[in-house]
Amino acid sequence: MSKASTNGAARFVRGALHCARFDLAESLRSRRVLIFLVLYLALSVGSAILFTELLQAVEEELALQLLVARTDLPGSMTQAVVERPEVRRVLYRFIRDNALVDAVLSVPPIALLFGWVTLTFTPLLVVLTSSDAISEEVAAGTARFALFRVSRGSYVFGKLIAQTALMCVGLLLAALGAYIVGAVQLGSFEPVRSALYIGRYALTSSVYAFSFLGLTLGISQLTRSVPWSRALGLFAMVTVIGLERFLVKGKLPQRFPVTSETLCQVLPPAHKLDLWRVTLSEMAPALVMLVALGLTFFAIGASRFVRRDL
Amino acid sequence: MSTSALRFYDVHKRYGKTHALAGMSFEVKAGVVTGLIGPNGAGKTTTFSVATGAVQEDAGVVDVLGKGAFDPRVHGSVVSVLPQDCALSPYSNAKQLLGHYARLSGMTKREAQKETARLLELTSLTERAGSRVRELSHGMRRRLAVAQALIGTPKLILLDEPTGGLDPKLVASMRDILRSLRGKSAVLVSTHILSDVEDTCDEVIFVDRGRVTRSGALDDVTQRARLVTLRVSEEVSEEVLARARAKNISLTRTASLAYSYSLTEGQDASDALTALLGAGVRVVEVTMGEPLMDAYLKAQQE
Repeated sequence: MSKASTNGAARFVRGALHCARFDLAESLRSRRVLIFLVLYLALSVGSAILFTELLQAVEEELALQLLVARTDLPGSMTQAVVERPEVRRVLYRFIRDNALVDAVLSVPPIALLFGWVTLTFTPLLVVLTSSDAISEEVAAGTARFALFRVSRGSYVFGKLIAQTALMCVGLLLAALGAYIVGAVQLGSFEPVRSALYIGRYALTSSVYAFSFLGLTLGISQLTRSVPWSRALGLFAMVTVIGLERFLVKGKLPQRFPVTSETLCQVLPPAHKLDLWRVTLSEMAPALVMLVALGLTFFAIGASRFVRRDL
Repeated sequence: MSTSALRFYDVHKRYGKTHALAGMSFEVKAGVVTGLIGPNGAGKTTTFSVATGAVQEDAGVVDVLGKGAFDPRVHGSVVSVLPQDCALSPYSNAKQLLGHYARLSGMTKREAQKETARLLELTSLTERAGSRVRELSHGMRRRLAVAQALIGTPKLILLDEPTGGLDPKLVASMRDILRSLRGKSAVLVSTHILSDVEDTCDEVIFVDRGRVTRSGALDDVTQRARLVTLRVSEEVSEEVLARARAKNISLTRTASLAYSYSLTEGQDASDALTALLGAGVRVVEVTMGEPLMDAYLKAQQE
């Protein structure tokens, strides 16, 4: 690589990091980020509390059926619950993979819930909080103060770094909330295993949500209208999820299995199930694909952004 | 080395059916403060946007500091801009914001701190350094925006309405800042306030409907070396005017109680003054050249 291109790359990264740091700091100084973090925490803690209540109700019912004494702390009979054939059958209907069912059933219940909640809802939170990250600054003209100093590519890449960091902070907070609720509410809480699994799902959820973040920020670069970028972000998310369902469950996969399978590969939800696998080597293809998809969606938006009038 | 800091040659830009720039051609010389004057919709802001790469021209040539069209990777630390109606990041304070832009301009952390302190002082914002942007008044925000345009030692500074929203005292200090840039940076100032231009600019560019209607040194445009304007206390009689004409002093009535005449070789301003005073006319004011407003209006009519 020539010296000029090395300098160019270094300048690009330096500019992106300055933009990211400032964007992150600006977000932390605003009230908006508090709302954003509260959303993550509320989702995690709220669902954990609901889950423990539901678990208690299920256990009470099970205690009645098994004619054993009921307990005050939910989770004391978790193992008995998950070993029920009904539970396995229900899970199999969704997953259709016995190894994966075993993997899922071996996870501490609070971590299982955390993983499911974050994988399901983090994309929505990402769309709600990041869809105007670029369009808003372009609309207000704020971006122009930076854009005559750094390249547009550097600027939007900085935005991607900042929004990814914010998402990770949100997920970390959510993980902490779920862990605390589990520790307080569950009878059979395993501190170390739960921490490890919750941490792992925070990581996999962040990778999954990153693909949606790339999509959202890609769209945010296409318009200078804040309402439009929000609407398009939501529309894109719903479309991606709906299309994946259609390609998996509709009539298309029966008639054109290869086409459906291929198309599915460019849709993040198609890789979601693999994030529940046990070993990293099993998960790795999905993780790599999700990061690649996020970067590709983002790059498509950026390729337009660097050329368009601001 | 090029003496031209910014050059537009036959630049065109359309927004739908609107021809915002219709063959815009001009030059801003290095170290010279140039005023860009025109009515609303004349293409001033589009000119700035094209010059800084925010908007891509449809046709024509734009050359910034002799290094081609604007590219932040090439021009980032030597060109700065005060865009019009652009909001600064609201949650940072003045010091943090200037520090951030200084770092983006390639300064080290220490250099950025030093530069921030200098610019806060220059724009009288030192006392509000810790205030968030959204807590500042409109005028203070404008000064902060001007401050960010002065970071480092830019060779070309583009200022879109720099005195808009400033009180008279701050307008005066802004004019001082502009004058202090003479000889150091090329400055292109877009403004509606002609007194700003008369007070600070060396050159002017009049624009209308996306093209230049007239440009040149301020003294040439206002005919400062050739035109004498006399304000009198009462209208001058035809007889006095005829006597002056006989002495080769052709006075033209330009407005109520105002007469002007163009100097010919060997004449100076005192000739007309002597002629009028000798005829008993009370002259209350003698100015060289015509007001910039008159020159501007003439250019718009041509």
